[in-house]
Amino acid sequence: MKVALFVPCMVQDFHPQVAEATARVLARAGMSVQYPKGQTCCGQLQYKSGNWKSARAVARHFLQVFQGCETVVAPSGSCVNMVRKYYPELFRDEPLWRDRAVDLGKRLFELTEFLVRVAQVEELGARWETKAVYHDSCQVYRALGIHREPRLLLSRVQGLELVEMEQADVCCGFGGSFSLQFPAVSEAMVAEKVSHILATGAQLLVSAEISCLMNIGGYLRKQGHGVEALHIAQVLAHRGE
Amino acid sequence: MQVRCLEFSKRAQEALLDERLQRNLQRIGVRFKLGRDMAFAALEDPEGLRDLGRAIKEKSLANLPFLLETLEAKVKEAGGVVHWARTAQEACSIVGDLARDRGVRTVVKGKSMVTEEIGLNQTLQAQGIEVWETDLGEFIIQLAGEPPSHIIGPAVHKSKDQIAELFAEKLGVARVEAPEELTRIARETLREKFVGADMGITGANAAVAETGSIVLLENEGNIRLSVTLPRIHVAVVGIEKVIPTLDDLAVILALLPRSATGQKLSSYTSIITGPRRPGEVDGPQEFHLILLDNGRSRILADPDRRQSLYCLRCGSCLNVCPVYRKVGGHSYGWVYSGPIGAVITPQLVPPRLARDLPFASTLCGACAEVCPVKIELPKLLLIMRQRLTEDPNFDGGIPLMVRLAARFHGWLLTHYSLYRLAMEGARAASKFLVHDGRWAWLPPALSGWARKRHVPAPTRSFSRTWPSLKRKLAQGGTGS
Amino acid sequence: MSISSRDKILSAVELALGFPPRDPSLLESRAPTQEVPWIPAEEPWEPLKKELEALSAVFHEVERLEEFPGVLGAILREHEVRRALFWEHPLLEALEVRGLLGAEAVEVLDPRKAEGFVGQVARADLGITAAECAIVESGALMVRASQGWPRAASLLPPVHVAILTARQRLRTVGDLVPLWRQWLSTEGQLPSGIHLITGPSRTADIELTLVLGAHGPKVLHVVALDPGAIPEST
Repeated sequence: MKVALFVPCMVQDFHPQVAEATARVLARAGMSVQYPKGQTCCGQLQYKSGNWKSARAVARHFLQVFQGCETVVAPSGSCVNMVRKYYPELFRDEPLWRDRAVDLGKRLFELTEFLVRVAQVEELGARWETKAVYHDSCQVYRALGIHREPRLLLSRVQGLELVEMEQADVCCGFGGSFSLQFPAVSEAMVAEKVSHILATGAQLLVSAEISCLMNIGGYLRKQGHGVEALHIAQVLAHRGE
Repeated sequence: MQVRCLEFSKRAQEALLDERLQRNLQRIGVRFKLGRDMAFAALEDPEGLRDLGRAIKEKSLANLPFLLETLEAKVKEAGGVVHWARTAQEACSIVGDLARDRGVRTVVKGKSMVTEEIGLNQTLQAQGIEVWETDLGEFIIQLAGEPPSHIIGPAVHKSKDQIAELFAEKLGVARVEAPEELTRIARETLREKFVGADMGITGANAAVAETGSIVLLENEGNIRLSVTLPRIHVAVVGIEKVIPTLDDLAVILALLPRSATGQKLSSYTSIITGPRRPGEVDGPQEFHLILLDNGRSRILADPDRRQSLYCLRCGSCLNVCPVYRKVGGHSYGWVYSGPIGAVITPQLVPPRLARDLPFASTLCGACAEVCPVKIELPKLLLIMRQRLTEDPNFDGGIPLMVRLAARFHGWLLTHYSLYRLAMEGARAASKFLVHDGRWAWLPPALSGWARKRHVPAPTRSFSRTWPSLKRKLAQGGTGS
Repeated sequence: MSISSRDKILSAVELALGFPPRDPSLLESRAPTQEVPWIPAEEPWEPLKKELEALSAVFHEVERLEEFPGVLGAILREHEVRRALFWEHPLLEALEVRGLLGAEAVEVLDPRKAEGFVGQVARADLGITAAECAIVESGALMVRASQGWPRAASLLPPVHVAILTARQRLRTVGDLVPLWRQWLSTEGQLPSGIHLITGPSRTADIELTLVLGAHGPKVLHVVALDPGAIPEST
């Protein structure tokens, strides 16, 4: 099965190792991975900052880049939700683009969702002796309803002990431009999230959303808490060396 | 009431430093949410009930002219008087004139967000009328000279020792801290006011067109006292509160208390139809219903924003909002706080005065999960951001530079080669600024973020590492 | 001024909605001919009792008519009642409440005398009402205003005694609708005041600490009459 990779903008230039891990995991699941040229971003920032005209232009670009692809996978819930839920609303008055958006929305998947629901692969041969806690990103859990899939995949990682944190469904405080416009509030939110993470005694924080990882991981790193924050693709690609 | 929404950031930072407030906010968040969740979990079909609630509000607003006319006719039939107020000022002068004509000296008030919205107390006090908020929480904040910080618990930001201090100072009583004692003091102080009051003023949780009734939910009994003892009862009600029938009321009654406080029913639910009837010895001799527009018909005119008016004012979206739970109600700077406040405030006040509020959300979606009438709050927050940014009729006052930056970034994203060039440029520049993973200088926009968080630097992009990875994968290598 | 405001608001609303047609079917009940779904009188009180006690109300079950005076007398003595307001209600008359109050030397206030009423009731220790019904699901009691049935009886005195028979129980708040409709059709309109009372008055406005008796009664007694205790005349 051919799978096209969408690499979110924050992954592309800041965390390319997440995209690499995603490609490896997909390959290990038996997929033929492709990387369509010309891709940039889903336009989320424009959409969520109220600049819908710009968002439409970016969305058109996105739809054109991926138009020939049968299946698209992204290591990010928020980008998938953007395309699936918000593109059709953006193109409410442009039926042709709307249809293309709806169509792509059906073929675009978040990584764990794709692995478990579409490819029906659970065992990826990953090994990691560690204690990990999974963070439910709002965009992955609430928006896309993906809760069981990442946990299932992590439970198949040899040697990995998966634990749960208190108030797992509370936002980490990223919210894109929110964290820039209201940094103090965002900081208080991530501090609370981190206190719940630390209380679990996990060595590894795992999420399926790059934005949350930048926020929580950035806090963990600067505060020197010694908990590593990784994308679930990086854990699933890990072989224990 | 004065609009101070532009101070959101400043007030939020103050709130974050207020340890007592943080403790109290934490407590309401956990307690109210738990109560709400348990109450809904005990229902046979909670989703069906919420859908029904939403359908009722949708239907009611879609047929608003007919329902308002019916309500008016039925209230008159029951012996009440109906007034219509287009603006806050009109509503205030209607009440003020009524009070003057009828020689009102003392007014007792039941808790009502809408009278906060129109700033009624100030108008009446300027006329020399004594106005008493009688809900315990409202009484506390009235004494403190503060606006409510939560729809359901207006004084939830105050601790008992602060209240003890306040009562001792303002009421001249001995300082006691036990909530039972403080409640007793309020009861005794206000009982006197109830007995002597000429006018009781309330809002309404709903108005039933079929019967011309208004419906009031409460736990303390102060609203019942306000509509039982004074000779005049004035209810100020937003036009969006009307519902068609008693059947619809039963649905609202099943939803609202469960959402607000986790109760199956509030301690008191009063269904008031007109003034007292001949032969009855208590209840008001006059009943006045003031139907308030104050910007609601404008919201109604935009189908995308119409669902903002479905709100039952239960406060459940506040209780689950991670932002509200950090910053508290006062940061929002006007009457309505939390997610619903961020949505409706810029629609009710001049938009540029509240332009920050729809952006003060992470769009996490917790609010939409609990809304009893399934208002799509994240969607509305997004729509409000768009209106404030792009809609010339909305006059959001978003700085041009901010808008241009977003547009330029969007433009870059549609020009792949230029975008790559820009990112490579950023990477090259960052090499001079980042040493050992630390930034020597950061753009000011990032400095707040970076206070306690590491800011990643651009690195060799995936598009450049892909060709070699692709070869490896083609050779069957998938190891890390 | 308000007349023109009325028309301006209505036309703004009409315009906002694109002049929707008047649809009288909106005002029709979803179940117009539904009978009031009373719970059979023989069913046990247990579920209602449980709800009421969870609300800190005091529940008294009266099995036989002869027991009623003892139950009411005990309540009067418990609260050292000197002055009481009670409804001139057929059920209370059949239970001879006035005589029982007299026997305990309780001063009885006139529920039909408008003049000075509030001042009088403000000094009452106890109010006795007859509930229209109870809602088992939530422990709510419904009372209504009428001549001789002042609203203050369930509100002003610190203790409220509501008397309820086993024939007057409904399951949910939705079951009230046919009862309200019955009143609408016999009286042409709803009573001026309908109150659902769910436990004693309460507040949690100070640090979320529950305190009973905020403004209304601190104590609610529910005297529940089994079929064997319901006076024949009612």
